[in-house]
Amino acid sequence: MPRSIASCVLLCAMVLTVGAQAPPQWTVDPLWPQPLPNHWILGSVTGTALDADDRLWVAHRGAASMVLRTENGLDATPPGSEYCCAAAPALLAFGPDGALTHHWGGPGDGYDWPRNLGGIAVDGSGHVWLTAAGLPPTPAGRGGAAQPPPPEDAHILKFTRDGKFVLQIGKAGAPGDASSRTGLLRPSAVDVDPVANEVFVGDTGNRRVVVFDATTGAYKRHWGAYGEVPDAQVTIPAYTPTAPAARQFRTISCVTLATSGEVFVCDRDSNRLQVFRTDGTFVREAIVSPATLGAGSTWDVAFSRKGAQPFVFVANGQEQTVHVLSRDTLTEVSRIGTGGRWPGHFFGVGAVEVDSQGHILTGEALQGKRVQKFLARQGQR
Amino acid sequence: MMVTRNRLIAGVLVVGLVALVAAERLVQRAGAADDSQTMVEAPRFEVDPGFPKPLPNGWLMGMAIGVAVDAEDHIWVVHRPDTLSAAEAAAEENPPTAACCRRAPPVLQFAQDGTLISAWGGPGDGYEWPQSNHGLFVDHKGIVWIGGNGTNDAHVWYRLC
Repeated sequence: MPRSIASCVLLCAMVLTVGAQAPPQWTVDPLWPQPLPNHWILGSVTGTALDADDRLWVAHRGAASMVLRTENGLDATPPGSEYCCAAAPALLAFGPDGALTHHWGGPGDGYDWPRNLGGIAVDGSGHVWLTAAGLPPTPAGRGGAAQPPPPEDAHILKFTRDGKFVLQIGKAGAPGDASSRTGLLRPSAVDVDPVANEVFVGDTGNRRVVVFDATTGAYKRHWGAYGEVPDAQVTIPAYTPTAPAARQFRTISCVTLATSGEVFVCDRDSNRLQVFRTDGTFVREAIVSPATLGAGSTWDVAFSRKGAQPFVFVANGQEQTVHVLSRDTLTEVSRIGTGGRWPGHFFGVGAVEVDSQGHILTGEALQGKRVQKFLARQGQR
Repeated sequence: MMVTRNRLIAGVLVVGLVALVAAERLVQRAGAADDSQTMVEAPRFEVDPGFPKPLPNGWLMGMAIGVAVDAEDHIWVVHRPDTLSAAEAAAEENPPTAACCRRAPPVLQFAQDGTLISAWGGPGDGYEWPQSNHGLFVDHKGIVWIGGNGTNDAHVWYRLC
């Protein structure tokens, strides 16, 4: 595949200016990543993470999110196709040039492999953390995949970057409640504080953030929306733009640490970000795209990495765009991308990262099933 | 003295380069002659990731189920808007769950540069639009023919374009 074509037709990422301030701009690299070997294809992407070498780690749902007859015929017995395709291993890593560098994942001794993968993080020592996020809603329309059977996902896992099991917190089929110090329920997001050696878990089934020691797995603390006591039993009506703000998290789809020491929590179905100190003290919140209904607007966040991190990027898999917010005010500066399947478009964009060069990487859930890279313009890195 | 020596070296390099190019040409010609007698080279294609251009109006395509090229090199596509899920066509929900996107009309006509020229199709008076779109052809008079493979589809449908 000649890069000359890519350089000629790099597509404008459809950056829409919303504010008066000149927004930063990115252009999609339509030839990133490089083709996977073995006729592998990606399923619904549930999470992405960057390691210290700018490798993009991708967790996806694999065959569980595919239609055997039309997508992954090589996985059928007997094979339903001769050449293509097969579900790629659950964990993939891509170098900055888009080449596949790591691939592993699946059941093994000593740990409960998730029924359904969720978030992913790579810590300072290169360990890969995964959450067992349980069942997402069945996609509507043709192509909806069958839901996997119990036991229910209720744990997180820690591996070496080569896929060797290190630690499990929680137990599949044995969920804890919103006050548990050992159990989780459908945790969907994870991040690691390398300085305090603490792992932050978005325990979405229990509407709380839980913090554990990243080496021993020992419980440290937890909190709910606004830093209050989480309650998984109280009924919360669906979000509407006019309803009073819910005092509990509806769906936690990200827990992401900024270098400032702030913890950003995506309360996806509430269209909001809540910001905490690492001790759980509530700092501030922001509503993003208030008119969004459906699955909500705040699927994942990332931060620009130079200086004081002036921008926050919010993946919005309901509106099929990435919002660029001012870091200080959490108000929108611009957007990247719109709905569609062509380069630079999105369906179900639910994961976003910023690499050391200021390039943006995204992962698409549901039937989006891909990762994309948006190159930063010279001078804005 | 040094200048003369450098010129000599440069001269030798240039002569060497010319000789190499000439030799390569000869070898290529010999190879091409051989190929023409013994091998058929398969055509090769490169994807154009910038084709077509983004659709207007937040339109999305469902399953593309037919494509044809007419006499003017326009590219015609028939797709299945009904295969887009509620999450994809969220702007058509009541109430809309997102500002994007909508189902594009089932027949789309693109220019060579990927620009959308026309978009039409769907139920109307005087004809039965297929239950499930399937196949499209543009004939020598520029008439667009469309087939259907739904349970009740037993006809072809055409329109003068």
